[in-house]
Amino acid sequence: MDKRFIIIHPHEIIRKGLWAILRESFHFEFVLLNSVEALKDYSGLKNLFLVVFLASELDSKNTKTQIHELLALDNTLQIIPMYSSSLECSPHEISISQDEPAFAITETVKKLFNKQKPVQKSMSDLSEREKDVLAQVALGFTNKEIADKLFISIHTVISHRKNITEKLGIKSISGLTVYAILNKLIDTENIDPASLI
Amino acid sequence: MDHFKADDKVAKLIHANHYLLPVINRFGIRLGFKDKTVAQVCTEKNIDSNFFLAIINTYTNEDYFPEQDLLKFSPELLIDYLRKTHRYYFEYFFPEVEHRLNKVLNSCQGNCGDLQLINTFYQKYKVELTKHLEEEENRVFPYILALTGCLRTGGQMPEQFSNYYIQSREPEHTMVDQKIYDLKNILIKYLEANYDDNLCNTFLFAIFQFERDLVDHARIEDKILVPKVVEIEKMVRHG
Ligand SMILES: [Fe+2]
Ligand SMILES: [Fe+2]
Repeated sequence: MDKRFIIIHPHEIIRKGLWAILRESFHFEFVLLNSVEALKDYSGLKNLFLVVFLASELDSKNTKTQIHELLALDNTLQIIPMYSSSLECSPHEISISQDEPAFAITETVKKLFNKQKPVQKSMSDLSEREKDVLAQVALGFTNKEIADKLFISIHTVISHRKNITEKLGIKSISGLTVYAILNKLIDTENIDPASLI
Repeated sequence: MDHFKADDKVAKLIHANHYLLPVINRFGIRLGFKDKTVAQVCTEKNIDSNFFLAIINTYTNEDYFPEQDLLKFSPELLIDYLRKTHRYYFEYFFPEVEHRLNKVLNSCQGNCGDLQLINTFYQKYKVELTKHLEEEENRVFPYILALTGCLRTGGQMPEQFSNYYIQSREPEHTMVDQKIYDLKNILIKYLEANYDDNLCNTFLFAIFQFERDLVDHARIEDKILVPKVVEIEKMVRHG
């Protein structure tokens, strides 16, 4: 899952400071905001792992609910409060403070990511079954027709197609057809390849 | 990152994101900015600077999308920008992409079957996209302009648009976006023919830029233009 860092703090010096520290170790997109309200312009964020650094003075039940409402629906969300002094930090929550050295902040975030072991989809080659399905897709057959031809359920066809698209990074049928021809999954001796794309 | 503001220099904008060049050209702003700020250039050229900033900021930062701000602008202003973008695709992008692709094709040695396939894929994509753009130019945009005209004057909708509603008419963007992405990814991951590296990179750069422009364009139509027109349709009853 792609990640984004969102830094919310009223002071520019803190926003930019934290951004400068984090971008040395993390190569993700950053969004820097001076208030929680400004988040509403980012309601299009989807399928991301969002790490929100939130100034403790802005941190209340209310703002947390607001952030969740705006972002949690389509994303995985982790809010990290940002305190002005480490004396305010509680050992029971993940947080950072402004009097910590930079490496400690980086460590905290790294630990968070290690906990979040991503589910690694194997990006290896297509399975034989997936190749069969892809060949049928390239030949222009519908899910129903493919299911009948290969003696599998429509549901299975759909799930194969989803895996194929994820593995190859190709979404459209004509794109998949190009791949199938390139990799000789279909016999193009008797068909004009251009007619399939 | 940070958003561009009215007192930023135009030169700074371009240093930060050179993809903005064709975008600001659509507003009639051309190279040779000297030290002029966005506000100055907008006044000079009679451009609504808030609209200009909304467009360049959404273009630069995919995550940034001030729906409330953008919804304020008139459909006429949006359509003018979208039409200029279409013209840019027809007059520059298509010919340029083809020119670059042909150079790669000509540089190919030995078996060039996969480049031929990519060419076919591109040609069919172009036909599909052209149909999409023409539908907007010939039907969707004139409809919206007639509708906003009615809103202003309180007049009747012309006969030809009876039973015409935006949501069933603005063509789908999913396919258009997906295919340009696929074209890019097939080149990056699966190309095997023997071609000239530099020519192929140049072709790929054009596709990258095209994709970026198209996705932004589609987003403006789907997220700003369509909701806006739906709102107006509620005010101007027709059918
Ligand atoms: Fe368009
Ligand atoms: Fe469109």
